[in-house]
Amino acid sequence: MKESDVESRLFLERRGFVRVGGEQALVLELDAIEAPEVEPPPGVRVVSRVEEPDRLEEMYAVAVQADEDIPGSSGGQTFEEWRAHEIDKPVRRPELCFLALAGDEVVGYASLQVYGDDVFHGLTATRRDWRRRGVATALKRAEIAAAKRAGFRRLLTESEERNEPMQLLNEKLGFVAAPELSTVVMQGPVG
Amino acid sequence: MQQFELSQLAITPAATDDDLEAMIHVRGLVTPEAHPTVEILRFNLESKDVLTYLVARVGEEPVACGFVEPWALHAVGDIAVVPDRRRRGIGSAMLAKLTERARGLGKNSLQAR
Repeated sequence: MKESDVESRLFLERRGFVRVGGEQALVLELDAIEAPEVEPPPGVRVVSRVEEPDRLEEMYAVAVQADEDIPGSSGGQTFEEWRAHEIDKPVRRPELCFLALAGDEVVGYASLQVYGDDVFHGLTATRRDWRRRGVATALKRAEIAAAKRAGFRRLLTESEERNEPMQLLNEKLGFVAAPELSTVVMQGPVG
Repeated sequence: MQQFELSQLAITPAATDDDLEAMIHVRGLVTPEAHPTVEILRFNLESKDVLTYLVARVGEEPVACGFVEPWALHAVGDIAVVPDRRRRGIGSAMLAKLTERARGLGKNSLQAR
């Protein structure tokens, strides 16, 4: 629910719900920037899923690790659930999904969703042993460059309010806060 | 503004394209920045057996929608009520349906996202 929707938050609080997290929304106006260079770290190349369409099991393995490490995440997504959301959903396009390969191993991926003139970025997944080396930065730069080339107007994203590394990365890439789109997570009893 | 009795409210699982269009209508009034389509909603329903979409109508008029599905530790869901239909018990009725479904899924807590 939107952070600005005070009425809905009060409705839930009266019924025993409490805030347990939130997603900060951010936006990158693609018209206002130059397409960035991808600049992957040494030993890594970034390709789209058009070039590497059959690496789904490896992507899923990286996604599982990434999801487990997001504050507040409960994890537990099956391969079929992951595939439905990250690969097969009608808003996904292989040319807007990027893999980071170290040698022949998938060490990260990121994928955009298409909504009209805008694209939305959800999960940036980097394998634990490849973190803090610039893989996520390179993947996001690849997405930004591709979104700009494709003529999209805005790139929207969100990060869990406790996910400090991702917040810093988004800031470095030029995203700005869009508080009108930020959301909160409330949790409560079911009776 | 037409008055209505809560007894006229019907909350049903969204199954047909009309139901999905009704959800899109409600979402357009509540969160205009979202862009659901029948295709996306239909895909979600077909790819997740345990996902339930709900549509609330008064007569033919869609007044609310919501979803609920199980995650590992809890159920997750959301409710959207058309702004000029709030404060009439529709949100409470929707929440009751969502929590009933969550209990049926074996969950004892619900996250509203």
